[in-house]
Amino acid sequence: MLKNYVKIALRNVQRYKGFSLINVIGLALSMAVCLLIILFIRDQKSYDNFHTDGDRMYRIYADYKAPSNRDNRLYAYSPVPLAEILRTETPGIESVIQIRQGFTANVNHRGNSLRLYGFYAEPSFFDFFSFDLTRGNARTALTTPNSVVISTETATRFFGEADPLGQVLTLDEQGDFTITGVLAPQTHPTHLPLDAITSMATLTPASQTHANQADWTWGIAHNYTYVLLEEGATPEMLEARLPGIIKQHFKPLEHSVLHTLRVQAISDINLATFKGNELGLVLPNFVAYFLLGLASVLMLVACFNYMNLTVARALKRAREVGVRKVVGARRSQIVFQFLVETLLVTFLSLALALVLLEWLLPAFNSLWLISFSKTAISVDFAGDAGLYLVLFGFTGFIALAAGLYPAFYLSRFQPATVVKGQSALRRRSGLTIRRGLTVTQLALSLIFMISTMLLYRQSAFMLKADYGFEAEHVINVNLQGVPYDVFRTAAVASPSVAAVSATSYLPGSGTREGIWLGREGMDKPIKGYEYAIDEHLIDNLGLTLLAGRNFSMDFSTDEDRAVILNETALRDLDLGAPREAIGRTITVDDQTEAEVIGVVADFQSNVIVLDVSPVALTYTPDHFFYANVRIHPGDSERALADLEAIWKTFNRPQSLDWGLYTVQLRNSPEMLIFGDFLRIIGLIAGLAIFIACLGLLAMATYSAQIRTKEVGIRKVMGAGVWNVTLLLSREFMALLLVAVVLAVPLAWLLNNAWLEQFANRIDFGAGTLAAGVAAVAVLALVTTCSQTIRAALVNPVESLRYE
Amino acid sequence: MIKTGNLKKVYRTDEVETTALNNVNLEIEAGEFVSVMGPSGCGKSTLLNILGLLDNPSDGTYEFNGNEVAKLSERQRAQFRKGNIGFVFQSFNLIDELTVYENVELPLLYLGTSTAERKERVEAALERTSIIHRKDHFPQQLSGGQQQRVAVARAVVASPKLILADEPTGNLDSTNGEEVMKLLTELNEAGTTIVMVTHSPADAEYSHRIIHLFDGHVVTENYMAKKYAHTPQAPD
Repeated sequence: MLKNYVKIALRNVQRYKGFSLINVIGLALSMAVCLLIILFIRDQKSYDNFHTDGDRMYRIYADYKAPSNRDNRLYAYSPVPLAEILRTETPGIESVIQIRQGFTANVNHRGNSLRLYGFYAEPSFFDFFSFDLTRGNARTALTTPNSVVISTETATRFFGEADPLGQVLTLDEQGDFTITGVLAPQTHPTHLPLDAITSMATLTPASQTHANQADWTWGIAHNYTYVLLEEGATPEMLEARLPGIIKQHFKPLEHSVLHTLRVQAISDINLATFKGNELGLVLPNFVAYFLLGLASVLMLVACFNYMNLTVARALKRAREVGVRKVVGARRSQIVFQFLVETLLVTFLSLALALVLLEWLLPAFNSLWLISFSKTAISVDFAGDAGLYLVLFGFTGFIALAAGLYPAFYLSRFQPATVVKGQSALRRRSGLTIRRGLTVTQLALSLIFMISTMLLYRQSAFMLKADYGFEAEHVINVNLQGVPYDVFRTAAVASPSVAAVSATSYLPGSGTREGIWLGREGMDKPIKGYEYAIDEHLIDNLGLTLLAGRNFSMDFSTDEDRAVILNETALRDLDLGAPREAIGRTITVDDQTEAEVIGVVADFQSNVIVLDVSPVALTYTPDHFFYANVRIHPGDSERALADLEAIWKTFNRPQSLDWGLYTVQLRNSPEMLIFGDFLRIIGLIAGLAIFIACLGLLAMATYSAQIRTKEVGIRKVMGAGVWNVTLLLSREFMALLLVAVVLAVPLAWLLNNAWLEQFANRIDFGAGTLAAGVAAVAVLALVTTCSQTIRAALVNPVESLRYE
Repeated sequence: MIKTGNLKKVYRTDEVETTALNNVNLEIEAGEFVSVMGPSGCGKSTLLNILGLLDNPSDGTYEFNGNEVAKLSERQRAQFRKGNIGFVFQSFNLIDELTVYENVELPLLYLGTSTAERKERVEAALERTSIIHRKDHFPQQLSGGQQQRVAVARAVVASPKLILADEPTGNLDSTNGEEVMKLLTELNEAGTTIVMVTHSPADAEYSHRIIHLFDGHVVTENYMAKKYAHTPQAPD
């Protein structure tokens, strides 16, 4: 029987090549995108699923109000003393381990320079987690201060084939570390950054800064606690004990409230609810939901196409259904037959989707988010048996999603009706459902079109945004410890350099330092950002001084006790007009008092997606980390050569780290992520619209075919080409109108929801809505008219003979 | 074999109610060849559909081989049809995507017949209808007469007790029509009961009895001259 079903399915595919091709292309395009997303999420879900006893491993994280927050948030860390309490006081726990953030530094070794991302770990780290060493003793590798275990990649980079064990690496600002072990190449993904692991014993009171090991308040923000539960113990049992531990040990402060501690399985750390201060790069689950949501919408459009075309062709298949029933087929057998047919089409689509996937993978892996998080995916047909399960499972699911409705629809034809002939069926060809599906497709296309237009407009707007300062022709140099005054003296002497200024962070690029600003009489301080600048920055970057004066060497108090505010800070601190604020005293971080000596016009200190924040400019030479070098226009190559030459005179192991300011503004993580979203949504929107147009094309073709006789008769009665075209297109236009009515308010709501997250945004008005509608309408009409005009041009003699 | 009592079929739409069959009382014995005649719209095909269990009557009784079948569900009707009733349609109703052999094989597939037995019975049916030489062709590659012979082969392949033929020669020229009628006659002579709807008096002459329908009523029943030895006797 199955053979019979497959045979008839293959012959149908062959006989109706056009329809089959449209179905296969539509399904393949959306399946390729869906598979890409599924493979990505599958890869992400596989994080940390390789540890021995991994099913009993959990991490404890905090629901905590940190000093920098107004409300509680989830953080990946937990208090330092928790580990000891869990070891000594809590039943059901086999072992506990803590690791600590902060071991991230640049390493320069024999001309090789690399930034290492690692952490501090207790000696039992390798007993707890299933990471193997190729060199060194796992039991002793992390027992002594300044010992470090490095990854194979790091070892190869610095030592090549030589044995790295016992060698010393010098880390910037961290000192010398002796290599006590080399990690085996990591073949399974983990949430831990494994470039370098050093011993917890390396920590000294000084290196712990304000994070006292025994402190239950500040100390919370640095350590990560992992537990291995005893056999039979459950995470719920542990979680139930944690509130008691908090109550007994944690003393809440005004800015520091530990609401609760929670437990999560180690294999659930990646793709979980977003938590602050993750140790490594962890993908929050909303990214997965977003990608899955988009892929599902695209899949839905393709499935609708399949359903629509299959139901539309019911007239052609009804007789077969009737005959099968007459000769003894049960309805379930007919349903099964059509599902087999859909399965065949989806497997053909899968083959094409895999070809498309090969083409999509490099583009996907080149997204900033993917390359930055080192989560590139690949398809391994030879070594990944589970991949086949994913492919076949997904294809089966799509076959059911696309095929169930048509199968049930077609199988319900009564043989008595069917055998009478087509005329009895014409009124039953699922018109309402088909109209519904077409309207949904058109509405989704409209929403995609309008959204994509807005995304492109917003992107263009942000790229050309006015930051309130002049970033053109500025090269920012990361001073990397070189004294600013030395650098400046050398740089300004270069003929290609017009001006040089200093800053702690680069306004508008995403890096910044938060502070609390207050004044006498205010209940609560306001959150702001501090930029340490020299007296040249205001002129160099073209900030507008509204009142007061710039920093000056003539005033000895400028270094410690003076501040220049922006207009927003002035307003939020309620200091009145710029002139009125001059001479007033404010507090910085509740401790330092500073006099307002100047007010500058607002500028975009945050990345462009965020609003202007209160900004305090201070004169703090210790924090001059960047030099802004303004070069003469058209002289960039020479200026860079000059800067390279200057840098060499400092005889530093690091190479010159520079960036064009305009590029740095474009390349902030927020802008790059927005670019990624734009590319993903643009691709999916393009595909969804293309698939919907394919569906329309097929529907128009089919509609013209079944109305051949009517067209012939109308032409004999005197109808012209235009009348007939209008007649055949009228229904599509009506459906388009319904889709517009449904989609426009939805598009407006959806797009306003994301646009409102952008402080600097484009105006979203009727213009974009009209343009989106016009674009989809033109595409839909061109598609349908290509078929309706063709049908209208046929000689009526032919039409009637055909019928 | 077939006994109907006050059989009624009413079609209802929102605005119109049409009575297709009105109190039809009918008895057909096993081995009979009965023709049903009447003008278009008199209810011939409706009667055939109900007798063939493709449709249920609105009212009345229908006994098939002693079983009351008037109120069966679609699933039960499908089960009952299998192996009991064969159909021959005016428009052949062959599946275009299947070859002659596969079309004829279809009823046996749904009966769950083994592959070897299927082959044997399909080939026998095709031999019997003289179309075996075209078994690998598709319906579109055959003439109308050939297609109807395939349809007859399909109708008989499961050895049904009853064959229902709805204007089997309606789409055929006289030569092909005659061939199909001879084929049906041979089947009847072999013991199969046949009920045939036709407009053609010439075709009706092949049968033992002609039932005339008009506006959903049986108006006359005419017994033909006895042509076949085993044919049931006309009542005195």
